[in-house]
Amino acid sequence: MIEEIRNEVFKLLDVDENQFSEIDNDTDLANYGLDSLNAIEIVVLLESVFGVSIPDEDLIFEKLCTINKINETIEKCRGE
Amino acid sequence: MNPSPYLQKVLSCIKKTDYDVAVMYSGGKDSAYLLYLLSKVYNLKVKAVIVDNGFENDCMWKPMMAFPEKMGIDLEILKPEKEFFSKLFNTLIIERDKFKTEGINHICFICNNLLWCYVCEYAHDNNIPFVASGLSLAQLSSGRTKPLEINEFANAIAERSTRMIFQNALKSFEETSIFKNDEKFKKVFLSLKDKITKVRTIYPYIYHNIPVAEVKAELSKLGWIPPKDVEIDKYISSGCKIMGKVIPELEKLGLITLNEREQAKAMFSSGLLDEDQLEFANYDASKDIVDISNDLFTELNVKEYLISTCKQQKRDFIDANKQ
Repeated sequence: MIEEIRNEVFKLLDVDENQFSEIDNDTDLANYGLDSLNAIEIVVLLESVFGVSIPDEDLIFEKLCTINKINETIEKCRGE
Repeated sequence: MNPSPYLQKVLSCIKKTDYDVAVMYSGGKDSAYLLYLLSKVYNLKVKAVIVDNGFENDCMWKPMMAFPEKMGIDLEILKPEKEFFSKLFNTLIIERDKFKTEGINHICFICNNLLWCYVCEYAHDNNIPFVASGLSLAQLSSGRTKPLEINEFANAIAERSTRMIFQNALKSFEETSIFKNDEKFKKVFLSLKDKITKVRTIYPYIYHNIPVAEVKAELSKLGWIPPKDVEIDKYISSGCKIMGKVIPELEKLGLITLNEREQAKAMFSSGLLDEDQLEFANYDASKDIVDISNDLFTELNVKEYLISTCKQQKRDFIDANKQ
């Protein structure tokens, strides 16, 4: 799942494909253009890709600012 | 003007109710035009809802109430406790360092978000399925390199962004002294949390980017009068006393920055503003004497704090009680 999250997030942030491997899963995505609005775009996109509904309590920038944190948020919603 | 198919799709789930949408109405040009857009272009059954935060200029009320009447639109005025907003503004000034996250780093962003919560609560309690906000695409995309893409998801993204602002504000408030020491304030704030998910919010201006001159021309034909005593072409924004009297003095002390000035500069370089408005964009607040003589500073219980800040910054200030 984490690879799929990486691909979707990097595509949405317009990250150059050559940079994908440089970004580890704990990198602060704000360095790659993540802001509060595209964080929400990511939420809406991943909800549709993974068929989950992310609750409002998790709509906090800090919970969406790295690949690992996004993954944790989605896993929590899937009850994994 | 034609309705947007994207917005019509969002609205397609409307069932038969007395009103289709509760419009966040302030008397200003954007929310007044929203009443026209939704009632006449979308043919929706509209209710105008004003939330009085207790700090509107008295002269605002007459013109504010007159326009819905001219349009034949019912109006509801909600009056939350003024004390709640006084304490809110006090905290946002004195503990502003806790509100640095994008989206909550301006007093008006949080105030507007809470006014939205109150309209959601009203809509839910009155079986109105939608709330309409006058938030524009430019406001939503402010400070971003890539504007929001307008498609079927845009409204949902705007809606979740508004909820995210509430969640971030709540998280920051949890760190403040008022949340730790004032159970009543905390209870009111937390009571708003449950209301915002119960109705949908629509953002018509993300689908309709209408030039200001066109908005004013249409409103003028409809008999709209600016809620402040200014000519329609000079009118910029509404008459909240916090915006008009408090924020300018905070800006002089560097306690707040106005994104509107940066936006105005950007609009001027794109040819969307004239020379008069450039003066607003280039205004250097740090050179003016700070005026804290207005009773509002006492009412908000921030006067001593601001005097102390002036002294620390070695700034001249005007205070009615200064010896």
